[in-house]
Amino acid sequence: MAEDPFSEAERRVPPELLDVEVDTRPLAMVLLSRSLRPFLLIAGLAVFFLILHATPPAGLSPAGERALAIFALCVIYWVTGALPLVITGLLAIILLGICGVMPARTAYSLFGSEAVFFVLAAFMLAAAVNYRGLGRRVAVIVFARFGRTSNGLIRAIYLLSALMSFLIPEHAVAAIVFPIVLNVADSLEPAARRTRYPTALFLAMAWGTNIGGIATLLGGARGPLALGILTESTGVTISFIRWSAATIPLVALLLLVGYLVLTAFFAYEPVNIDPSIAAITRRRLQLGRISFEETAVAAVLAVTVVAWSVASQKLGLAGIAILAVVALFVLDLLSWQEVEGHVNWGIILMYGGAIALGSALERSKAAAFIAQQIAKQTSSPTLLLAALSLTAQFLGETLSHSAVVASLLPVGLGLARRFGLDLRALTLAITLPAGLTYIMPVSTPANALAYSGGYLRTKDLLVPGLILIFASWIGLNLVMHLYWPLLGFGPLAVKG
Amino acid sequence: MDETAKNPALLKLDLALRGVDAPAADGPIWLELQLDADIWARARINPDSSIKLVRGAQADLLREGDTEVAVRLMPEPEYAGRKSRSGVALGNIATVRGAYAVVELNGGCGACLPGRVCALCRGRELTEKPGEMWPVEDVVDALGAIFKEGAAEFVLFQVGYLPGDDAGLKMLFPYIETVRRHFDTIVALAMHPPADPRSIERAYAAGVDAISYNLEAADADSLQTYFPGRARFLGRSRYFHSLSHAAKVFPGGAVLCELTVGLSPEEKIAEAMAELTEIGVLPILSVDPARAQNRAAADLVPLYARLFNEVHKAGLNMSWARDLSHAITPLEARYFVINAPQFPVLLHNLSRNRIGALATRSLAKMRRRLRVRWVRASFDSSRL
Repeated sequence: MAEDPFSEAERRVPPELLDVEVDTRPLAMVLLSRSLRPFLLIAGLAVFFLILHATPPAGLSPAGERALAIFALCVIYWVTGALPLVITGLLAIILLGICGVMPARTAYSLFGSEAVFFVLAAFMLAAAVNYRGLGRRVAVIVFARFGRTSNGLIRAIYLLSALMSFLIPEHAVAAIVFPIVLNVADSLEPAARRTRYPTALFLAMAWGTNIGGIATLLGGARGPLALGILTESTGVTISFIRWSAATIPLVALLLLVGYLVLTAFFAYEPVNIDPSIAAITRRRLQLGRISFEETAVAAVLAVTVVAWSVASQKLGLAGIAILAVVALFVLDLLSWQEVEGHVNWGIILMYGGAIALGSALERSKAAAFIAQQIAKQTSSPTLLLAALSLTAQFLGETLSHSAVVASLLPVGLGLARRFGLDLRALTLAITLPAGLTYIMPVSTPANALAYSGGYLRTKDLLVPGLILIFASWIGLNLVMHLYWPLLGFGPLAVKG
Repeated sequence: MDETAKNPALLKLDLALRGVDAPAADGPIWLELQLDADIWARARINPDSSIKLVRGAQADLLREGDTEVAVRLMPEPEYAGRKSRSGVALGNIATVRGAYAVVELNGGCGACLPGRVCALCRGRELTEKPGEMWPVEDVVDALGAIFKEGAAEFVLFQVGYLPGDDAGLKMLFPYIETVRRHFDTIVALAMHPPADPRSIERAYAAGVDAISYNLEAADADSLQTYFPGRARFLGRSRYFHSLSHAAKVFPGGAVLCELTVGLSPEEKIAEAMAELTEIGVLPILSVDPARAQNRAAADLVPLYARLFNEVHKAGLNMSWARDLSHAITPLEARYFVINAPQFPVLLHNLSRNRIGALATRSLAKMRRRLRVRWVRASFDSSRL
């Protein structure tokens, strides 16, 4: 194939890639799911008023009961998607004041959590990486250098997607890598396209991105949200470097398992990738020499990561991130227009609500009350951690990862206190599996983009995806009990 | 013309192959005719054709030897000579073909409709002068005049090469949105297949009811021969990839692919039809008279019968491809099949009357409302 004139030489990050979804399920199913919404809205309200007007059970204060009612309402709306996540988050904030769980001023002030500003700055850093073309250049160079055989190309896509997700959010990585992978897949000869190899290319991108995304606080916004809830509710925190130290062995293990599954199910036969190599070479030629802007963005990012590792205790994660953003503007590497186009402002609003609600549950002892009720059902903390992580893992396949964290973590923290578990370990045990999704197109932007390439079918992913889900769960529990104690937060050692 | 006189689809095919002898003067070189059973036909004026058009006071006739068939010659629409608000003749902006008001943007592209292919397909330099992108207001003027005159029912945008991974869809949005806002009609779109499959979803969400990526040359060799640019820059696989994806997004039968008789061997066309119906795409068959002039209509009957049979076997809705004058639709191809099933005809007839047409449009709108979700309104889908 010759150079595709439809390829834009200067491809910008396409936020519009996510702007339309066409539900292709049978129409009856679509109708049913659409008509459910009013019932869900009413059900949420019914549960809210039921809890609000019931006599508080022993051990639960009136404020705790009201916090619980708001929490129930928000969980129903978050989990079912009856309202947009951001609106539910805002609803939580105002209800806390209206219902008298805490003064409205306090509820609004929780909006100023460091996690919110950290996420905001992370989006801005990712915008610079995308708009200045650094991400695209790195991807093309790595694919050209290491993708010379069919499995080499899979490895290059897989590992690069994972490594990039260490530094910029998953959805930004997917938006950078996807057009190149699509070009590579479409360039294959018809015989090669009829194999499962193109599926492997897209899955390498999606699985690599998702696994790599749990490595640091930068890969997904659920990490900072969890940290925000943990800090605002309990005063305990986890530094950037300790978070990464806790996750990286798990990431390495899952990358290995993921690669084995990928090659066993999808890339088991060698295919001729010469046309794909030619396509990558053409993209590389289009890039030309590295520009000042790209070099400068890389330098700012490198300094930022070093600062997070060595100075986050002193300057704070958000402080360093915002200083980096200021540097980008000083060096004229980013414009406000680009920031406006790239930053997901909705998530900032939702986080404020989720963090405030988590804090309210903790302060009113409602979280402790729920924990007490659950604790009556089990006496094994190990079993409890395993159950919570498995729940987060499966919920993450279909729900927003932030919604999973916002729903499970406040209760989880109460349980951790009840059972004497380390709060940091509990936070990681819920947050990490929520991001490890392998099957559903709706689970992450990377999966959605991989599906949009047209080579993936859910039924092909069911068995390998389930293998990876259980491998992730087992891996997490092993790392949690065998490795985290070495870092000082073994789950059975109380902190905070 | 004895046999063809009894079979309107065969007559349509015959006219496409041989043309019609009619006084041309300064008039058009193509005639739009309405045959029996409301079948639209397009015939080029060919003084060598043995089929003659006889204008009568009561009716028009097609005559060959002693055989005569009554037809309706569509008059040159009145709107064509009028000017848009920016001073362009409305006939240049939109033409009437069959029941469609065809708007060619950037010159359009298609061997049979509009009758020329774009620079991309010819494999020429893309720097050559592109066709017109008419101002949106002018397009609305032209379509408004056409609908007011009752000359067409539907809108078809025929788009030539436009740059971008979305094959230029972004540039079409204002047209689609404005047409939807001003007219209650079915909007069809014929364009090059995009590199980015997400743009297919966007096209549907924006208001396109039916879409076609017209391969025209059924096999890879013919594609290379007749459309070297298409073969080189897009490849046959992108057509199938896009068509297959579109078939999952659009209503059943609303994704079309035109194959042109004369460009490829008939067995290759038959194979392509089977491939298309297998992925849920409705093939339609046009004729390139210059390259199929040695073929008699009767020789092509098995191919057209296969068109109906393949589509019927796949269970595809045949009603979306309708009232086209330049190509034979699967439903019209029923005339080439003995004892063809009548259910598709019944469905089609239901959608032809005023209430049926309104129901079709309303159902299409409702389907879109149910299936499309604009996730930009919230960040739920970003699953962060």
